[in-house]
Amino acid sequence: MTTGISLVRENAQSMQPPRSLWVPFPLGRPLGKPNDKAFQHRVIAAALALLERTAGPVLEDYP
Amino acid sequence: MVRLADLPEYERHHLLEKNMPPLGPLPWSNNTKPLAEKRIALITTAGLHFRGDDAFDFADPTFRAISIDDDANDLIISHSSANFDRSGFVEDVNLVFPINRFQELLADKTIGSLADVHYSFMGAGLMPKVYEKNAMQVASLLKQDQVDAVFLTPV
Repeated sequence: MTTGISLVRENAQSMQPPRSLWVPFPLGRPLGKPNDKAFQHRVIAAALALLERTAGPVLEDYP
Repeated sequence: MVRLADLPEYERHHLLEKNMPPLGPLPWSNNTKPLAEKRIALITTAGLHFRGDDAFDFADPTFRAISIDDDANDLIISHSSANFDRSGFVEDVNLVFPINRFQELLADKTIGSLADVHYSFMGAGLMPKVYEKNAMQVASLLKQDQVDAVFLTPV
């Protein structure tokens, strides 16, 4: 199974990967902030939480 | 960012051109194991590899293996797109390939284990279908390594 980050929401909406977390970060920065462990962990936790979903495709927005 | 409405017209148009229909039926897998028991692999399209590996070509569907035993701080990027900011990767590899973050998740038992090998593709210049053969090869390698779930990162 897969989960992952999407940087361009429209691309994920059209391709419909099984589980994807859209993030409002610049291209080149899927985990948001360099050297910010806590921030990166929050992003990762949100994407990993999608593995619990029982039906898809799932496209959620990082809060 | 990246809200397309915030980008210049040429860049918005370029990114919207990448809208594609699904590659096939939804490849859905139900969750059969708690996260704390899952074996996780990372896959990125950031065009990462070690200095001694072959660089990615301009349009290149191949992949590079990234062993868990090697230092991720030695990874370099040979991605052919000029449309993204690489300075963040230079500061912190975890910004595009969060291997240290996942090692921390392993240490606090949030995940069960990490794959022995992780992978990078280079996500520019080719239609998705061209990657299929190599993606299937990586899927087979992941299966041999008993990986339960993959965490995907673009650039």
